[in-house]
Amino acid sequence: MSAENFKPNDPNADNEGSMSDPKLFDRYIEGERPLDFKTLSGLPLEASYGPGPAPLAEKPGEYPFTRGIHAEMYRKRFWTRRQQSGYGTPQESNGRLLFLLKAGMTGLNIDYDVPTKVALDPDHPLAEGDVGMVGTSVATQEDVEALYAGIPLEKVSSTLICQPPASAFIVASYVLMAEKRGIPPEQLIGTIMNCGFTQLVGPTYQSNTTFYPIEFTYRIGLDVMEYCARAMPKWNLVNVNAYNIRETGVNAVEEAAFAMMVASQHIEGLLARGLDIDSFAPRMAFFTAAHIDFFEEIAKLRAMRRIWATMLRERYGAKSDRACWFRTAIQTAALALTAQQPMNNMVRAGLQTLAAVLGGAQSIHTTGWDEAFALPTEDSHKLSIRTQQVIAYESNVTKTVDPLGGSYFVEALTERIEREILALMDEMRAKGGYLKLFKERWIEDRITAGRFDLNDRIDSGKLPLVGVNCFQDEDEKPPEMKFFRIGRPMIEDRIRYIRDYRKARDNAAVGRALEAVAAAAGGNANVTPSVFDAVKAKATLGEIGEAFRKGIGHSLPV
Amino acid sequence: MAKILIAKVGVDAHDMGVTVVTRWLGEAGHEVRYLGLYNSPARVAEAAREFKPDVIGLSFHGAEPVYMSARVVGEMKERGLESTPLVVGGVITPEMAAELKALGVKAIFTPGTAREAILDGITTVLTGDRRNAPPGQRLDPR
Repeated sequence: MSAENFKPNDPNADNEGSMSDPKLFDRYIEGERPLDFKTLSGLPLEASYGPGPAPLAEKPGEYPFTRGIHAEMYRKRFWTRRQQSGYGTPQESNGRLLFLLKAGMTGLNIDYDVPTKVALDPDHPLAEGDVGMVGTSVATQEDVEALYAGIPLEKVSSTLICQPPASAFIVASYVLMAEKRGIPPEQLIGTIMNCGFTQLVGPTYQSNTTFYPIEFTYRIGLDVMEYCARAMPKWNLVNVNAYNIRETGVNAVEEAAFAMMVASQHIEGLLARGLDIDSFAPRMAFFTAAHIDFFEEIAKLRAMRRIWATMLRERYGAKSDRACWFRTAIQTAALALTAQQPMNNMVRAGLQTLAAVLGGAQSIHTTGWDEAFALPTEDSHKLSIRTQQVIAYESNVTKTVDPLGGSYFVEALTERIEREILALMDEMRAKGGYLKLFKERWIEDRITAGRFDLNDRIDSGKLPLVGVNCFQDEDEKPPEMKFFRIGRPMIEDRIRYIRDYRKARDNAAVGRALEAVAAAAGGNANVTPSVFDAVKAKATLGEIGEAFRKGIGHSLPV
Repeated sequence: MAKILIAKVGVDAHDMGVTVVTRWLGEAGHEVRYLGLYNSPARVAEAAREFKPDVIGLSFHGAEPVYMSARVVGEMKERGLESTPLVVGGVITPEMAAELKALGVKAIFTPGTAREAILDGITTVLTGDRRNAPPGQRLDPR
């Protein structure tokens, strides 16, 4: 590091504790130290902590599960190594899935491309540049069959990353594929993400209101949850995507509070339909971020377990302990990774993965070091799995449960962040709950404020990012590494495929099935039976999505 | 100060970068119009015809930036607007950056680019392109 690396001092800026502060050089004599004594989310940190007013007497596996949902945790079973994957055609993605399973991945996690998620077929004019880009392109039941070819669905659990209303098609296609193979729905193990508020790119307003009105998306989410609660007892019917909430730029407190309030919205919707809390709450789960602030993330996870358990028992009257289990998949936050000096990301991801493990995660996706540029290559995907295996098999952190439990600091930070999360949840409840706040753009305003604040802190140097606003390489060149890239011919193939598919079927039967989907969407009954029938009749995802819009009188703004 | 049109193209909805950069450019005194998400290439070109920007910025996270930018360039040409410089920001590999340059994209801003570097980059694009313009039409770099 040299003087040239620092940005010129702006005389008008408040340089207190900033990396662009020329006084920083004095610290070379004094020794380096943190720029402030706060967590990433702004919670104050003391020099040291002593015993709290009441030491935690709770054991792991005991309500309210601060210390973990199981008494034995990783002594009995490691977290699932569940790397997201998906790109190009379903056939290509099937190849990557088999590669990852061979490398030691223990659960599937399929990401679909954006057109699939918003229920557009590959030949839709709006889909043209996004087919197969950040996930795999799926439009027919045949596609789903190709994606899972050779994979035993009753032995490997499968996460399907898709939100309503497309999740209705995805679940129907998955169940029908399994039935063809002789596996009944009650034996299927896995998760449909299925959260209409958080799944696409987090809870930003325009992304969640363009293709369908939010009320409709919410309702179809509940339809799918209700179907899964009745027909698929081993299946997780919703996964509230706190990770995507966090990646919009908000802090850990907002991530947790928004996610809990979204879950509350789903719970109250299902209760209003007459479902018993203990019949569905055990199948609700979360997907949270592990950001770079090591102890704050661990405290957040411990607090979320306690908040969920207490909310389920005291507010919603859940009797079973399972309903009170806050189960979470974790992805190490991509927002913490940088395009500058990208190999540093390996270290960041290692730390984040360790935080997820010490926080008691059920499954982990370690984000690839090259993901500030592209989807991970096979090598980078494998390194993510190896990172987890080193922690699981070599570090021995897995051999005792909640090793940080009882630490003065960790318990105090857990209590502090819990208090902040609960206060924000109370505020949101008092203002009318999640759906109302989303529609009033209260959520949007929080996100906007959060992301501006975050970027201003990075830009001013108040939030140090190694390689970005400090310790830059003066002569940093674009990295000479191989990035993953998808070719255009794949998109042309997909367009040809979907057009041929539509020609080779009984189009009168498809038309009738789609009429039924539109009628169900326009009415109040659960849409899933009509979607199952449409998939059996060979309707495509885009056609079903269009039938939804027809039924409710919504049009695309193109 | 310049008129800048900014848009996301296609169905990718990752918008943290684009909203932050939009604000930074506005704070620097530029007149910025952000079209939001889900624009077709034709819609961007139509907005350009109406707004007459000095520069157009496109933001990509998940989509294929080269393909999409080429489509926007095509739509601009159809309307005789190809002289408006195009800049691109987002998650872009070195290989894609080279292809974007070949396509005529004037500047590329990848993740982590500092505010000053973006503002300077835009200014360079504008002055570079207007160097030979009549004095009254040259842009003041600051």
